[in-house]
Amino acid sequence: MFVIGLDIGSTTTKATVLTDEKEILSYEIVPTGANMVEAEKQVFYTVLEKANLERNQIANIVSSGYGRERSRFAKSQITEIKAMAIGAEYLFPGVKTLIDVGGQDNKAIKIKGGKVQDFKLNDKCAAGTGRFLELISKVLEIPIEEMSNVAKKTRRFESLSKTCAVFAQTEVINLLSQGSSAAEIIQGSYEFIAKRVLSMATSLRIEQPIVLSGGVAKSESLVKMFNKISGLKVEIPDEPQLIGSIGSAIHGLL
Amino acid sequence: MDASKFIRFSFKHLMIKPVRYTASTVASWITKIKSDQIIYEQYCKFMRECYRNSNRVAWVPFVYPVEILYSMNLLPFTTEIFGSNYARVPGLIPDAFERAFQIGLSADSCSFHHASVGIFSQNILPKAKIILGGTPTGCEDQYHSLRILAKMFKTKYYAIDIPRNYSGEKEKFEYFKNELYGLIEFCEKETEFKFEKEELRKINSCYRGVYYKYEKIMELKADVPAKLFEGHFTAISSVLVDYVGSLERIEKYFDKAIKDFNYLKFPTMGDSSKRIAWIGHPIIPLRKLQYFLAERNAFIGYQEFMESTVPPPSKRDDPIEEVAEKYLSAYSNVPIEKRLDVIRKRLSKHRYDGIVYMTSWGCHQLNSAASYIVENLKEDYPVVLIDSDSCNIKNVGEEQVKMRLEALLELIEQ
Repeated sequence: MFVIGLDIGSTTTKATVLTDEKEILSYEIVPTGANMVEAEKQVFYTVLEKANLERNQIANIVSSGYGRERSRFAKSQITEIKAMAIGAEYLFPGVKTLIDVGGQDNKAIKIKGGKVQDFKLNDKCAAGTGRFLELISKVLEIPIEEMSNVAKKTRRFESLSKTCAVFAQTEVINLLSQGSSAAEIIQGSYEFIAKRVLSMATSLRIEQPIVLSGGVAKSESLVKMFNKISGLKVEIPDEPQLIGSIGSAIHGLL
Repeated sequence: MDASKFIRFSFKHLMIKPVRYTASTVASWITKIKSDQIIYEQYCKFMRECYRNSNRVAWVPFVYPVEILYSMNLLPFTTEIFGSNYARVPGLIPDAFERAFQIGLSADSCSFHHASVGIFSQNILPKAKIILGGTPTGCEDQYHSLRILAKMFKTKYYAIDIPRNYSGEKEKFEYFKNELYGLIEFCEKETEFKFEKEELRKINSCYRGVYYKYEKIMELKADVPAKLFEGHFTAISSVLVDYVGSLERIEKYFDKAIKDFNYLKFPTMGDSSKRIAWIGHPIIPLRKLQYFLAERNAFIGYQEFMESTVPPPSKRDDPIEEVAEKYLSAYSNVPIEKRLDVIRKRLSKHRYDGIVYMTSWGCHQLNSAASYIVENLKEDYPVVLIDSDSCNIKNVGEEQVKMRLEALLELIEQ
């Protein structure tokens, strides 16, 4: 028996194929872009191909994420909050807190035995989310995946005001005109994200062990900044974007 | 569109639209709610009076001491209620928010006031003889938005300050009483009408009777899905805040509504459903979201926003003092600890499985109270905080809202 978990997020769409023994057979991550349906189709058929499976061999498909209800393939839906709690417990048994920096939402989830105990999400504004890093990447003309390496060039950072993603973008332009380096600005952006996420998570009275997920967790420099500011040690999954799709797939086995 | 057609069209669009609630259960009930007919008639009567007698119309903010205006035979027309209701009607006045922004209202100011300025600036609602601003809910936009309208229409403007009732009650009481005398003086000077103390006494006494019936309705309503009585929100807020002058009629409405509750046997939320208490502003698209919840066997019972609309009455020999005391102790004007007590009291009367706290765009009062109320209620209930918009459909963030609601329901199920 095989199941597929889909996580159709605002920035990327992810799919994971699991066996009934909860073994990961294949996964795929693609940008969601403007066409959610197309992105879902792409990840779905890619994971099938990678796992050498036919569609009729899939016993269950569960979707989560913003596009969960638009899914053409899913038989049921769960929220990414629930999916991520399940996924985090699978990857890190005994995990008590998951902090996810998503494309549009940041989430802090308190977990016990893979179940959500409490959660907190960011407000409407995208400040401190993955979308914010995309804006900074555009202003600096540095691809988002290269930002972490650029940031390693310095330990200094230009602190940004913690209110609004658009204001921060304007601030970056000012800093560039005042001669700040791209590395200092990227470090400042990481500080911005780390502090926003921490202020949200702290009100949940988070406990260790903590897992950090989402695309930004791939950035070594950001994780370092997060550890430095919080004084906490966080665990990072090998593929930090997959946690929701893994959780959805496991839910499909239940 | 002429005035009477506009009234009928907008009213029907806003309130009397039958809605499928759960599969085929509720629509039939809506038509049986006789009390709504009284509200409909009252609404039309009030609007007609306002259109025909613009020399009596005063534009006022929400939770304003309208009893004084009624005792002078003036017609208080609440800008936030009418503005926000009309701004929600798709296709009717789509650019209200854009207009308010162009007129000069800051993008950060409250959505209700964007709606008010955007709608009232279009000259389709009854014209005002005077415009009265103030700080009745501690909201500065209530002062500014009406001032902007007064400047635009070159209409006489007067504002009263209602102090927040945190401490020094005696001084605040005297201060506010003087503010009310100032209001009376202004109204007498700028209109042809005189203040009638005895008339105010009569209104106060009638209000007390109506208030206890309102309390009864709140109690009955707590076990009925809120969607069924969507009209109730507009009704109660409008009735007690805007149309207080016709209290006898309102009393008749409440009697009828209580009968509706007792005899129509509305479908209650039942034991198996998830019951949600909604704190903060109501949300749009309410209908769609309530249906979204109903599909998941969840219903909104208690709506905290209604607490602000009906200040508890007081009893004093001097009718002006009575009004002063009433508004100083209004729900929206008391310390946050007292508001939390009111919420807890309501929640204790029925089973609630989860709580939604919604902050509306630009509402400083709700935003600043959020963490205190959420953290306190979290000790007893699963709570989710939603950052959305009560008036501007484009700023609601429907998918974000749905995800948060669904996550709350998942938490309740666990």
